[in-house]
Amino acid sequence: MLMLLFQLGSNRYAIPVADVVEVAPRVMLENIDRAPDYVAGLFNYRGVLAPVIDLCCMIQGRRCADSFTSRIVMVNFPLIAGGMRTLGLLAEQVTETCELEAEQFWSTGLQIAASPWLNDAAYTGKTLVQKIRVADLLPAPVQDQLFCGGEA
Amino acid sequence: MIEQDDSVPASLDDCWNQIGVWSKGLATCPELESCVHCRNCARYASAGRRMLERPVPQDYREQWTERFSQPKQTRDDNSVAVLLFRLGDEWFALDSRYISEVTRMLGIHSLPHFGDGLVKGLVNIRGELKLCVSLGCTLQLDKACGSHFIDHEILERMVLVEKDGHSYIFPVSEVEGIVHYRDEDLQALPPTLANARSKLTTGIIKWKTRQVGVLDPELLFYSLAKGLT
Repeated sequence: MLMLLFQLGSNRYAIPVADVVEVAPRVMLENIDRAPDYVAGLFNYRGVLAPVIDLCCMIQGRRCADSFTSRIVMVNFPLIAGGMRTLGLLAEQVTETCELEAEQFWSTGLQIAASPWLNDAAYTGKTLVQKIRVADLLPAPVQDQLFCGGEA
Repeated sequence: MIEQDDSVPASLDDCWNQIGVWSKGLATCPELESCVHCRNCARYASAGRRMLERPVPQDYREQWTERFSQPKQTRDDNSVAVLLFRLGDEWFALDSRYISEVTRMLGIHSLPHFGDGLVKGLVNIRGELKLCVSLGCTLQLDKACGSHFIDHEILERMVLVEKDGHSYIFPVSEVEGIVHYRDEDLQALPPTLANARSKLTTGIIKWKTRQVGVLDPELLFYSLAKGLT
C-alpha cells in the first residue's frame, strides 16, 4: 500500500495514497470567520470551495510552517451523514511517498479520546510513522459546520 | 515567472563549495572516500532538502492560487493516441491500443520456404516466439531508395502489435513515440489513390511538417492474417 508521508514537528505521519486526490502547494486561502482554530480557510479548488484543515494546528496547537514543503493534501473525505467531499489537509514536509504493506503496521494500543484518528504505526528505517484515519479527523459537529447541505 | 533565489542561505554550510571534489593539496573531505562525488553525499542531499524549507514568495503563492482556481485541463475525449513510426521514407501511425511493445532490433530467425515476402521469420521476445512480418510488404511500399532519411541502425526498432489474440512483430526504421490527434484533424485521402497503402489507411494527419498515414487497425490485421494463409 503506497502511503503519502508528511511531518508535523518531529513526528512522521502517513495517509494512504488511495485517499488522496491531489497534492497542492500552499495557496492563498479565504478566511472563515469564527471557524475552529484549525480550519485554515477555504480553498478555491478547481471551482469548488473546499475547507482546509491545518493539521499542525489541530494536532500540535501551532500554525503550519510557511515553507515550500508545507503543502495541501486534497483528500476524499467520507461524511458521517453520507456522501464524499473534498477536504484539504495542510501539513509540513509533504515530500515523499513510501511503500508500506498492511502487515508492517502494528497497533500502538493507544486509544486517545482527543485523537481518534490515530491509527496503527510502522517503522520506515528508524523512524516511526503513524497512520492517520482520514475519516475520523473531524468530529460530527465540525463536519456539520463545514459541510452542511449542498453537493460538492 | 517565479523568481528563484538560488543563493545559498547564510545558515547553510556549503562544504561542497568550500572543499569540493577537485581541490588539490588543500583540505579534502573524508566523505569522498566512500561517496566519490559531493552529489552522492547524504550531506549534500539533506542540504538540498533544506533549500525547500524557505518561506514561500508571495507571487509564487498567487500564481498557484490562480492556477488551482481553474478547472483541471483534461484531455479531449475524442482524441486518439497513435504510435508514430517510419518505414523507409514514409511515416505511419497505428492506434496505440494495439501496440504491445516497442523493442530494439532483435535477431530474426528466418524460416525455410519463406523468401522475401510477407513473413520475415520468427523473433524471440523473452522466450515467446512471435511471427515477424514485413509491414512494407503489406503496404506495398517501394524499397526505400534515394531516401532523404539517413537510415541509422541505431534508430531501428521492432514493434509488437496484438489484436484479438493475434500478435505480429515488424521492424521499422524509426519510432517517434505516441502522439494524439483529434478526429477532426484526420484528413481524407485523395480518392484517386488506389493501392494497398491507401486501402489500409483511414486518413492523413499532419504532424510537425510531415504527412502521416493513419493505418486502419481492422484492415491491417485482416490483411496480415489473409497474407499468411
